[in-house]
Amino acid sequence: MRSYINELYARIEKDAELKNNVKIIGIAVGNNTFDIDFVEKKYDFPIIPDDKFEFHQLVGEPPTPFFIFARPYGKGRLLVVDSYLGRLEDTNKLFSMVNNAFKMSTAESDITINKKTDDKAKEELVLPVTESELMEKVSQSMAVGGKRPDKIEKINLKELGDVYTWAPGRSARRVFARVVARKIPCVDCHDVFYIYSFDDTGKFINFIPISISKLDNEEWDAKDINKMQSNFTGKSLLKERPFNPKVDAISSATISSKLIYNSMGETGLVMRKLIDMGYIKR
Amino acid sequence: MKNKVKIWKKSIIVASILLGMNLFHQTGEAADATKGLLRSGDIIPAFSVPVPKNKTDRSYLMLKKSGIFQPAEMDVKLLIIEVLNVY
Repeated sequence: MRSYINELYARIEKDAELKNNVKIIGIAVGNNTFDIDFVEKKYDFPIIPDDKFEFHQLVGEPPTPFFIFARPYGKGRLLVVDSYLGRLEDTNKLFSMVNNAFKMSTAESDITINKKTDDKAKEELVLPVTESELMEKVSQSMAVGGKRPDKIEKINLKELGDVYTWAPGRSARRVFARVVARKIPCVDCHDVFYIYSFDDTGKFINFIPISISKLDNEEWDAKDINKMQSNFTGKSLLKERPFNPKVDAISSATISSKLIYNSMGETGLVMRKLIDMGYIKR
Repeated sequence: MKNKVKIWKKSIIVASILLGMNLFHQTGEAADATKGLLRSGDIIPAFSVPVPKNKTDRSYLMLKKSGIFQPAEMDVKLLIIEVLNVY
């Protein structure tokens, strides 16, 4: 399955001009060193883990596979010369793209720099539910002891999305529900939308999917939802929870499960913002 | 005979419209898939990644130290990055 990209690597290494001037790396989004070790022998070139989706977010959360042809641009930056989304199993065509990109990389005047690329606005995903459907799910996620919230306040945390809050009573802990929308690094998969709730100590309360699918875009069923709920029940979201695909993943939805773990791992950051805004007392 | 020609012509027109609508739909889908993706002229801000553990990989990337490195600091003219996931 990987032969076309390994064949490209071999052709570059055989080409006297390209050999020392062109390098290929794979950046495996949502994968850790253990995952990489498992598949490394399939690839003839280095595969680097991007366990926390940091590179994936930096380059605009593309589906995979996504090819970036870039040249060094000073101060640790790269200038994109060309890009390609999807499998390109025609190695001749791929090699021709490499040659063109190499020519453009060595002729500096040929590339026009796109303005505002350093602070390119993140494209927002649109929730696949109406406002009233969303509020029903938010309310459901924040229910404490069977009691639904009577007054919900919305807080916008910019890049961390929207958080809703409710104080069940004077003596009870304040409850928060965060709406998460994430692009999934896979060409044929649907994006992930869900809500999770926690109290003002960071303790997990509820997991409510809005739209999460498995292989062949089949929606998660009650068993899948219960498993993810039980993965976090009684746990603090402030402690880092390493993701073990064999134990923690929903069957046929490993990358979606990993994204859920990654977003829940941002709870500490969310709570720091809520403290700064006065919603949580220090 | 004339009627047959008319029906044939109508069928071709309807088929052409349907084909056109399908192509338009597919083009729209393709455009959606690439919307917001990096393209020529975009700049990727500075970033660091872990140095590969494998000695052959380190040698290929001309890296001597372990820890982290900035791909953009490699002495190359062109870097090809395949963004992938192995699950």
